[in-house]
Amino acid sequence: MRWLAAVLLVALGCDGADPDPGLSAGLRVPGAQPVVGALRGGDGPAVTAIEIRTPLLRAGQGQYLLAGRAGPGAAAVHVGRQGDARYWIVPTGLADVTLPDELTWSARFDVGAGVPDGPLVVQVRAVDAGGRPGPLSEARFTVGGPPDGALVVDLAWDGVADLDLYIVDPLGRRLGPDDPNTYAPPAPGAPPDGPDAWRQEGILDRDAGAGCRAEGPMAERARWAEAPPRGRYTVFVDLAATCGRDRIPWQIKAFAAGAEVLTAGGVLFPADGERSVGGGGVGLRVGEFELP
Amino acid sequence: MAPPALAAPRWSGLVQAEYRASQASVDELADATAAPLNQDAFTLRRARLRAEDEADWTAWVIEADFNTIDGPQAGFRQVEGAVRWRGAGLFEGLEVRLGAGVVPIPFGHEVAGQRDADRLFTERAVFADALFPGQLDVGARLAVAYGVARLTVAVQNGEPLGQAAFPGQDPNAAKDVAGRVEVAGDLSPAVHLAGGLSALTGEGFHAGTSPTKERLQWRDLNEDGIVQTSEITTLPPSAGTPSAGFDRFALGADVRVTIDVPALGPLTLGAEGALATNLDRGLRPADPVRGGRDQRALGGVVQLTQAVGPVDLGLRADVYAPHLDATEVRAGGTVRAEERWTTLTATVGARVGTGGRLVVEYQRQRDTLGRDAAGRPADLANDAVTGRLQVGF
Repeated sequence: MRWLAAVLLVALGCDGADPDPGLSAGLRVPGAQPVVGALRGGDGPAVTAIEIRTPLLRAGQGQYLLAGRAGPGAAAVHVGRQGDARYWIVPTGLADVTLPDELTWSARFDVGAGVPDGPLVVQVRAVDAGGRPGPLSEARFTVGGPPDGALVVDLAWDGVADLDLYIVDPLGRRLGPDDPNTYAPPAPGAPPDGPDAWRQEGILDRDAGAGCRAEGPMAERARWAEAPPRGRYTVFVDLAATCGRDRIPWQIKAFAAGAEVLTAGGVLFPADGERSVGGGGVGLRVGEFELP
Repeated sequence: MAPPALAAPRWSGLVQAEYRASQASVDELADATAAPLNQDAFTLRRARLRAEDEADWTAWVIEADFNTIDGPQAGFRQVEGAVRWRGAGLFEGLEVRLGAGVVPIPFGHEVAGQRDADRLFTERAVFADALFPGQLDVGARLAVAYGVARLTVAVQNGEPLGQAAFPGQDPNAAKDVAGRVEVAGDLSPAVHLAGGLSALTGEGFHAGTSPTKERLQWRDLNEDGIVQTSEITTLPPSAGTPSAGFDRFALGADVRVTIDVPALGPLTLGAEGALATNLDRGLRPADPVRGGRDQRALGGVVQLTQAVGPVDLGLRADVYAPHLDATEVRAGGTVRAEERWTTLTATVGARVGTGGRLVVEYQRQRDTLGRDAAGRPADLANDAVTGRLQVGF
């Protein structure tokens, strides 16, 4: 049935913009129009400035800023990762305040979970109203490497689902979406801690996939900025909601002082939700490590 | 004395199951809603069971609906009780009917005039579903028919059953008033003419916001993944904002000519158009309070159907511009956003037995959902083919 419909659509259908959201691309610009093809330069208007916030990217994370200016006549800029089969169309915006002949543009991009660690080159070109491309410009990034922090535990998974990262530290305190900070205020009568004491404890950065919302990358990070408690840490992954998926691949990496101390991965199935924290369980125990 | 026997209602039903394939189908979930983007699927589009009865002074209709459009769903469609009066003597030919319940919105032929079982095309024109999603609303209607003319006026909540917000409810006291006058008659034994004028006026609802408590917000300005004091901002408590109403109205006109072509069958030509302000409740719901300006919409359809023995052939072109004044910032200036849906539909249907029909339909959709190389709105590849099996009784 499907092949017959596909033949009919190919025979009768006309060209149009690509409807694929491009989730398999190594670099994705949510909300922008994807185009299948590679970027090549030309003699049209040029990208005159590129602004980034950080040269360090994480695979599976996103909302990285890529902005800049384009020369007179630029109607849009095309953004793509070198080596990707797709690039993205971003219309230019208002004229720059200080250089009124030039037009501003801005995009936020995600890095696919499958992008390997190493250099990542983002290519950008401007095009005029006739679609004539200008020369290629590049922004260079580095993906991966040990994350900053004395102890960092990363959980990432594929597709929209509500997974939660739980960590029990050597003092028995549990870090998770309900307790995103392991800091405990001093008992009444005890001298108060400094204003930044909470930042020295474990912090969970976000509750990704909550409510099955596809906002941002499907990844969570627990981080101790400095001096995490010594002893044994136990890591759990909890399947809070499958969001309609029948299998959810996941991966965990833990780094202590830049060295990898735990790597684990697998696939969660709807039955794993039976032992969820919300249902009175403890989630799936995926590993443990010890800090000397 | 034996109790009176219950009247036997008149039953009718309809099953429409289809397979649809679209160029826009992708085996993914939508970013914002996590809804499936796959459109290559079997769907139970409609399964209807309708019971109705008429007596001298009263009439009633109860219609149940089952479908799998958004997952398995069971609900109801038209549910109406009515009192009616048929004139006699000096008023011979006059019929007055006052009904209340869930009743059709009397606006245009696409919304109020055609039955799903009779329509050759698989669905209504885009503008009809956008302005009147579900075609039904809760309220009361008065219909007066005399000879070839019929006038219908309805006072309804203004929240059609098919819309996303408050379907079947009413968040404001104001009511929509819609009316339609239509004329249908034979110009000759082989030519039938029908047409109507419709209008609607009412008040839409802009939802206010609840008060919020104070919050902390972290924005990773330097994208290093580390919380820094300079990246934390306080969001003070905010006061709630009041809800507000906004005026909306629409005008519509439609005409159809049916010609009995010898040796073939009926040929029907039809056209319909509607001009609306702040009325879209389906495709691009209007909220001029939030948008800062009225949302003017324009829609129309032209169609032709020809019966050739047991086969029906149909061609239809419909267009809908949901926001004629929409703007966007592009290439250094504020320009018109060019929002427009145009659909060309070619349909072949084969009637089978009594109430059966096999339909194959191709839809060529032109819209402004994509972007071309220069960043301008462009057509998204989303043509579709539908095969449908329909059985009714």
